[in-house]
Amino acid sequence: MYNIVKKDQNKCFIYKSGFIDAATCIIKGKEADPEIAMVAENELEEMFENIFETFTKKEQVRMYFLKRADSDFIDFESIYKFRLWLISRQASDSVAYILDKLNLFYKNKNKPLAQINILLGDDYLEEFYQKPIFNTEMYFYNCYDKEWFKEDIVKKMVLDIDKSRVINGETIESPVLGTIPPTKLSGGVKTLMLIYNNPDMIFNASTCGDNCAKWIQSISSDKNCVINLYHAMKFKNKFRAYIVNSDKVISSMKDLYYEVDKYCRG
Amino acid sequence: MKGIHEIIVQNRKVKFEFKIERNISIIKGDSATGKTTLVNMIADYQAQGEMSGIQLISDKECVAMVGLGNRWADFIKNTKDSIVFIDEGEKYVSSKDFAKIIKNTDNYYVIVTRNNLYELPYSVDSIYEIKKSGRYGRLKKTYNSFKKIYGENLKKEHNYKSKDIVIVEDNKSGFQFFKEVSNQVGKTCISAVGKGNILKVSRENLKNDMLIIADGAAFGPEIENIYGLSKGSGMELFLPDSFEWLILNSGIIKNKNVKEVLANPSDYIDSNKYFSWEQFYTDYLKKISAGKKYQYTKSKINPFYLSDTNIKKLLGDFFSDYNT
Repeated sequence: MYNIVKKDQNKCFIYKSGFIDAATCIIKGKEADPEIAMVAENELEEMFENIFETFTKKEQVRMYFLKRADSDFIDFESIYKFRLWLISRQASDSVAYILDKLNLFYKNKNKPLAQINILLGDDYLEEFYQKPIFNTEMYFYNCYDKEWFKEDIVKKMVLDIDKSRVINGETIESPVLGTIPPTKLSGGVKTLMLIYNNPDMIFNASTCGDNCAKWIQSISSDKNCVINLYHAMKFKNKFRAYIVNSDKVISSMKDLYYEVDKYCRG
Repeated sequence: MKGIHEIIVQNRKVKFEFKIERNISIIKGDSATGKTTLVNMIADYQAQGEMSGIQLISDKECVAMVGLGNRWADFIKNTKDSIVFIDEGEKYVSSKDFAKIIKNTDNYYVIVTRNNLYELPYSVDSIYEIKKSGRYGRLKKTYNSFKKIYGENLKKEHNYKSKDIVIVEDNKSGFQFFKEVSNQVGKTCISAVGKGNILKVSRENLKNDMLIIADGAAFGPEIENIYGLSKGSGMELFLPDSFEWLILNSGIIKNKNVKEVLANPSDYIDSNKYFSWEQFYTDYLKKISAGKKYQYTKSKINPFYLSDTNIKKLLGDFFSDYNT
């Protein structure tokens, strides 16, 4: 019905307009028309299955924007490249839905996708509309929302990193500085808040100290996001991270040192 | 600028007290230790002096480069004989232009960043973290060392001959020296042909017990990754300021001033002339050895330094198996 995937001689073609329509139908139409919603769910599942098979064979998936012969298209070389495209557009409910379902699909296949996505150095990521935000301090100052401080995770981060207590969205109690506004919080906590609240954007996480690493891991397990690093952040325990620059998944600090050495030299 | 400079900066809530001894110092470390607070206090004092409510004690003017945008280069050009503080978020500190512009300036620079600044030749000993105790903050060196060996679990004794392989940063006289020493004890010695290749060469030899030898005076941008890699491996990092420093330290050179220079190098090394201390040691060694039997040239090792006695003198302070 939505015709969102086509297989042709081992090539896999997917149609953006189709899978977005299907996701929108599922989100909005489940109560109105459960049968159509079920068709849409099945077609999305079929798309994931075809994508999975294609990438497992190390072949590309071509995404057409429209169901027309002259439509623009993007070739994705890996599931992570496709996921990056989705992450950058997750402000759309339909894309966010597909992103969650995609993660779940891979998890159910016993091939869970790495949750931390890292862009190293100054590389520009075409999938995203804008460059990473380097000066997170300045961006936070101009763009933070006092509503952010209502979130439990934000209160916990502020307490853990800055040893300070959130009174409300405009007032923080610091043991050293006394009562301070949010703009006086540490650079690390500010960046964590930016990542948490703007997962479709990329922020310079090298403004976060190693004491923020566990929070990056925590946020990444909850949200789909990409961080920009210029150094080897010391992640704790076991971790799996997708390195955007090399299109590789790493699982040790040793691997991260090599990748940083390779991609952060400018 | 020369010398060690003490800085005390405080307001009613916090107080920082530290000394700066090289032209480039880096402050990194955990979040919420007060790095930005420190730079902001310098900026406030710069703007309003004591009227800012900040007290600042320093024998040199302290200035902060905050929010200058594209005008940062003009600011540096107009800043003389000062200690310049730069907070993270200023992308230009990683650029070739920044390195070029600060190279022959009469200032010291204190840069807050976790990025490895590959264009700048800063020392492994001038990378700091702020350690806080209540309202007091001081600078602590990030990388521990004992007798110029750097690592997390430092031993009291280190042996050169127990290593399977020695990797040396350069391919000139320093490498020639260590290659000869290694040959004598049947060990392999490889030149990485540049500090930027050390991690790559180390990776290829990770299964071996390795000794990495590099010029500590300019190895700052590389240390984080190689130090991290050395954890839990048989790798040790030997990072004297430079090979020339090693020669000066050996006592081979008969010059009455050497001891004093090595004891207080910052009193002799002018930031305006030397971007990195290793350059000073090279010039100094060349100058005091000229025309002598121990004349030093960077391109080719003088066989004088390769006698058994002199090898022991160069390495004896650092490796037990040469301390006889």
